[in-house]
Amino acid sequence: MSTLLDDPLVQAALAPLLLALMVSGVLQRTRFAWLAVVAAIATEVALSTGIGFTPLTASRKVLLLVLLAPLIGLALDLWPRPPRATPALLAALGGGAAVWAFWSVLAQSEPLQMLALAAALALFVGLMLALTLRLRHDGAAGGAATVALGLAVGVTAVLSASIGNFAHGIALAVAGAALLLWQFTSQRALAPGYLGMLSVGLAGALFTGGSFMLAQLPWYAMPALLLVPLAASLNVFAQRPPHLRLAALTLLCVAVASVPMLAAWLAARTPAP
Amino acid sequence: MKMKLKIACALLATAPIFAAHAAAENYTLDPTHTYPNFAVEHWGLSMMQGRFDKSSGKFSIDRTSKSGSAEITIETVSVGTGNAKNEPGSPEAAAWGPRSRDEHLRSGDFFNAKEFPSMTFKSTKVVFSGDLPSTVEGNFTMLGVTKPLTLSFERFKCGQNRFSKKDRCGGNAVGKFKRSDFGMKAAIPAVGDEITLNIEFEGDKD
Repeated sequence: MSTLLDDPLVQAALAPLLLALMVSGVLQRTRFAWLAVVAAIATEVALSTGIGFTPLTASRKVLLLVLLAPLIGLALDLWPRPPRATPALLAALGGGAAVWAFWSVLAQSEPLQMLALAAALALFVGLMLALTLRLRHDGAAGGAATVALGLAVGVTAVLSASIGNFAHGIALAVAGAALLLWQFTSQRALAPGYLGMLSVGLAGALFTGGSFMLAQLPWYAMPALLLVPLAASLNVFAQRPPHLRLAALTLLCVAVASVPMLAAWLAARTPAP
Repeated sequence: MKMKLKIACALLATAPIFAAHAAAENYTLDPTHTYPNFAVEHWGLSMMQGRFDKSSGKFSIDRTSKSGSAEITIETVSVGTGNAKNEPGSPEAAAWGPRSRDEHLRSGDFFNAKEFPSMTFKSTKVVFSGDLPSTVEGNFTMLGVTKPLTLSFERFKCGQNRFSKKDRCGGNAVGKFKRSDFGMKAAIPAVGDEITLNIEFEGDKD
């Protein structure tokens, strides 16, 4: 059993998928089904490196934020009438949280470079949140974006020499797959709400931030990742039957996810000077 | 006469202090002859070797009082295991992907060089065997975590720098620790948890 749990495939994909299927399956008739996202990521981390917060390194701050996101999202979902500016506010807070998470790395740069990096990081995370939160009412679009974003985060990470973020990305992708599977088989939409898309957007953005700040992800892969939630929000398949729309959106988002993957691959293939 | 005797006695009483001070030898590590090496089990097969190309520090020994100190700062970005880059189209890239082992080691999964550019060892006690140090106890800090570590001198010899003619000492200090104790848990057990650290060092007397 211990050998099985040491297998990276089990840690990053199979165990998180199993747990995501269980959580989303049990909770599919409630508004908590998208807890499957944080459940999958927590499972992956627990099996691979263990969950711990001391010392509070950048990676651990990211994990802390990802684990807190669903709580904030749930509170907003339970709020009868959250302010209209809530997505914008969350985007701004997310950007600030990213700067806090990677401050230990930012602080080592020259002042001007630090400001530029911090601003770029905050902007990327803020935009990712703004775009993913637009999908909070649409289970199919949210699920498609989650699968594609997770794949993009994972593949760009491994191409940037970050195995940890690769595993995080795959866990995110399988969580999305679990949620899509339940929607496909039950023919019932599972709207993500703030709970779901705040978890997805923040996790995707911060894991990517980790690949950029702590590994070798090229900066231009990050704006390319924003294309994924953008593609999911397109109304191109609105008139199709639900099954077809779900499948088509997923394929579209995964196809768009190849753009940041290509960017990371090209950067990795750059010959040494 | 009595006053002269008192002064003489006072001087004699302080002689050990001056002797001890004079006996303390301070050395600065020579960065071109000091390399922290490490060995770790890979897939249960070989003991993979790696080293850090850049480090700095100092040490001192006092053979009279049988004491000493040592301090070394190691630049994590200088880690190397012989796989610096997988060139596009190379067999290594085909087998292992575009990113090399050394690039992985510098990433957040292992030495996290961007967040923790250095790791340090600072001694708390040097134990002598005869006239030479046999072990040095101290604290090792890696990835923001500090744990006790004892290094044994497999070799400690002193001689002369043949170019500068300065007194010079050098040797090998070896110790073991578990990387998971410092939060470096990636790829366990495929890549072993136990690390053997072997610091080859030389330093000229200040």
